[in-house]
Amino acid sequence: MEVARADPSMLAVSCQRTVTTIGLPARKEQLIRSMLLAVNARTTDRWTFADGLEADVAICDVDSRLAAVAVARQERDGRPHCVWLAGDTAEAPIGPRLEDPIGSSSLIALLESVSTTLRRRPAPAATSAPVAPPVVAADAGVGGRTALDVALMLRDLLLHGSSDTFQITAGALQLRVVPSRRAVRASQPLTDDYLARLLDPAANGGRIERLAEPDRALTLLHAPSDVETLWRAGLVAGGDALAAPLHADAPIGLARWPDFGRLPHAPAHVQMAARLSRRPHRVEELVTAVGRPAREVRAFVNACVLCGLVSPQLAASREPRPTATAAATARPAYIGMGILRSIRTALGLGGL
Amino acid sequence: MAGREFKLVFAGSMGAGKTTAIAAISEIPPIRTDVHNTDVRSHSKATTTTAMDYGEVTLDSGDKLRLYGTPGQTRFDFMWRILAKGAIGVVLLVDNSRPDPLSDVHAYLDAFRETVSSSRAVIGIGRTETHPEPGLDAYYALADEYGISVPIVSVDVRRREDVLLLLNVLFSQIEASLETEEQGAMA
Amino acid sequence: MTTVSDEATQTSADLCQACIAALIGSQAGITGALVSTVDGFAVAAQVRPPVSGDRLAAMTSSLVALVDAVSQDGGIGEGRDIVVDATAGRLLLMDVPQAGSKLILAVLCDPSATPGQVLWAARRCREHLSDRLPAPGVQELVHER
Repeated sequence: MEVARADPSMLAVSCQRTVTTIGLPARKEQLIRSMLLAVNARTTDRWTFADGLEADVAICDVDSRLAAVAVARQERDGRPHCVWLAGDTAEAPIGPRLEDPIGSSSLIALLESVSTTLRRRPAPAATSAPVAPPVVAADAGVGGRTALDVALMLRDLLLHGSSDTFQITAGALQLRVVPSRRAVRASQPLTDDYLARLLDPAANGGRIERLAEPDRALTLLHAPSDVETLWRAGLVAGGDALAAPLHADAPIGLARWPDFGRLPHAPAHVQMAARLSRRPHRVEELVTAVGRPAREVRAFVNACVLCGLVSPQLAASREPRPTATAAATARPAYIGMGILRSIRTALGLGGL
Repeated sequence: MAGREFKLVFAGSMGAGKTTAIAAISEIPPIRTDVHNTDVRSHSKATTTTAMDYGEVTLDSGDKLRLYGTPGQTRFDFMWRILAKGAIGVVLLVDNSRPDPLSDVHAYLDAFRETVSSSRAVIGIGRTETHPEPGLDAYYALADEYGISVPIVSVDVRRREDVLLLLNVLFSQIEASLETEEQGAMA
Repeated sequence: MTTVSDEATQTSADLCQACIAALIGSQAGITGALVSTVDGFAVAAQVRPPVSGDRLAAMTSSLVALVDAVSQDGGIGEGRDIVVDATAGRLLLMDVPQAGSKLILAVLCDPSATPGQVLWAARRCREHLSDRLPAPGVQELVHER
């Protein structure tokens, strides 16, 4: 098995990459979708349209509020690459521009430029704050690496979007991923015990290897989703420390909720998510608020980091601003903790 | 105690599961106001709700928690506003198998904007197993465009535990905001 | 080419429109009238701005459905007529039975209208529609527009 090295520029095969649009009118988005189909034969990588901020490139309207979210995410994670769609005279923020009306040659030039940048960039894809060590060569040794580090490496691989197959091996246990397809396969069901053993650096050598032969069929038996894998890895990898770049003294906020409909969770996780999405909390504050041990709180935060839900830059509170018409549909003043407890009891919901 | 009404509103397009969700938790079989659907080209269901569904849960104080399901179509948006008045919160249900579920959510975010903005709403996306697109990211992007923060979870409201999850998320938000108010009052 | 069924559905809409026009003309004080489906679509409307026929159709269908639910729950059978007595007039809602379905006739009045006479005129309109409307034609008519 070839051990991966942190040098994506060595990759000779084309990668699967994605483009999204933010705030553009429907007809412009449709135009870009159509152009992607047409130009794909002339680009190094294979480009498709995708919804959401996980794309490699985001073509943004200069007036869209969502574009600011995308830019913040680019600063944090290194993607998406934000490009401003601007007419000749329109003022756009500093950053790459795509002239409007869009021509196929300028679109190709943009996509090729991003491909080159991504290939030159060492894994992980983030270029701002260091998040985790890249995939490590065999002789680097385990020293100092933790299960959380291995989980972060897995996260970064999935973000990178390579079409190769990567594998974590811990004794008889295996986990394979094909990042471009967001596909994960496991040799056993995704239990806490399986993940704990799989992620243990003493067992896996602190590394994730690139398979010389891509496993197109992904022959391992169990197929958890990538999100569930990362989520469980975060919970299991231990709450000894927070994933970089977070640290205990800095407030942490959630940009999005975990999808509790799909992810296993404890009651306290819902309580924590409610608080962190409302305003940033330090770990200590959250421990007090939900009455759970710090280790459990850190494990939850790490799971959220791995799933890309945390925004350490969420400095401003999201507390709602009162508006002129709010009174008509305001929460009745008599709704308090007592009534909510009573409702929870009646529904068999339980609470804190 | 006079003048206190405890109610939850379940909103969303036709077929999103409002009546099912209410039935999952109501002590009484939901009272429905279904009539013959004349617009079968837009919706294949034989009936449509024109006023509301109603269910209830008895609290230990003897008070009732009232559960209201809204009519789905936008021509009944006046009912959405009537029903949302004084509600503890709103559960917005989305059917991801519809042709344009993001547009459906637009309409409800507009109508329930105040309730959603004041952290008293949760969005449940149904049928994601068979219809994974649009993904949750797309719904969050839509909420971001509105400048609002709202939890969004994948659910199947035929399962009672999923309905309870939606309510747990809703109540947790309200509890978090009550805490913030208490802390503000003490400061 | 106009088919027999086209002519038939066209006649249904015209029939409703003619009926409510006659109703409004028959009594001083009737300010508007509407025929709509039970699920809130206007079939024929003659109302004064700012009242919207489409909006009124949706709202009256909600009212009728709620009243029906209350009537049944109260053990008094299916709801039929509804009278709303308001500060600046009245609203009268009547069901228009059809084979296998029903429509809703809504009549808006100002304070000068004599309630008994309005009721009588509305009932005549309802009978006229009920006798002459082919079923289920009106549904198709509404959604072909």
